[in-house]
Amino acid sequence: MSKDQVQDATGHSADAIQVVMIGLGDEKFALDAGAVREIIDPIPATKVAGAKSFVPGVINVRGNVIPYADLRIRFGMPAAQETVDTRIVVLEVCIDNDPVLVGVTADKVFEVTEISKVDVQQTPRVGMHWKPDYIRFITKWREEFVIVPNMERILN
Amino acid sequence: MDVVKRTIENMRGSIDLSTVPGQGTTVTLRLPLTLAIIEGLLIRVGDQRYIIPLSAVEECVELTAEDERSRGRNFLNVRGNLVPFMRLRDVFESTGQPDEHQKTIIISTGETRVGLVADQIIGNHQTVIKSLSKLHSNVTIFSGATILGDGTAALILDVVQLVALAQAHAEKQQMSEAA
Repeated sequence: MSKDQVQDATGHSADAIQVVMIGLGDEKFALDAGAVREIIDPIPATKVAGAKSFVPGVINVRGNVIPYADLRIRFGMPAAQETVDTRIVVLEVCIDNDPVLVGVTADKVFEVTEISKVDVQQTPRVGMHWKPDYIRFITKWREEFVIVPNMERILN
Repeated sequence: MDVVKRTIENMRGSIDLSTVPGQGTTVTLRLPLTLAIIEGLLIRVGDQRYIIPLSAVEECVELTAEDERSRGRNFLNVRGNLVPFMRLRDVFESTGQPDEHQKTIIISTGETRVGLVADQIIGNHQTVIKSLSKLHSNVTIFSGATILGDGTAALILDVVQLVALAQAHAEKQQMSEAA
């Protein structure tokens, strides 16, 4: 979805982007709503032997076999048990200029909301144990800092 | 020749060369009949199910207690022929207890015959091939995936790559032992 479409749909300024807010561990992540295809309940994944640790398996989503990514591994978070709030967010991500569907885990999906680009904070170079590459920017949402991850970098 | 080999392997085929000095070379290209649907043998290893293309399967035998016992010599005696085997549980790093009666599926990849040891042979399965995404492009031992009757995804084994991987692994082990 382009920025113009967002503007048309909401009537808000071009500085705002629509995002799906998800919780992972203690952090909140904002995923670009335009990239989100669907949000589904957890389904059993098929393990792929020899795959990279952050894409450990594949799942069947409406007849498509798509990779299943665990962002926790990329962000160095400990594995967590599945709860009633656990969901799989199906995203469309560009990899090598080709759109690829990928399912990512979320401990909780909060809501579809808008974040303002005006509040964008510079990604700090110190005090981060994550690769700066993985983060597109950090912004403020209801007095809380949320991370907008760079999915292309995380998955490549 | 490398380009031909790669293209054919992409199409899940195989290529064989045999040369008789002074007479010439025979090039054998094997290609699957259709690219979308294959006949497969559904097997279970640990708690996961896999598909082996039926075109590669020669026969299925039970792994006897005698074969099971020896860890050092991984080969079978199939009607007087020596057939090496590999345990899929080790390749796929399966967890849990192995089944008491392990089954061996003997596959042929070109000239070589190799046994693959699985927990259970479920049966024949018409398999619609769905390719794996780019995120799994580093995984060579699976040529694709399919969806089973209960909705779960099962991976399709690429037997040529699987045997090549096992050979590379064995060579590496021998090298490290020698060093």
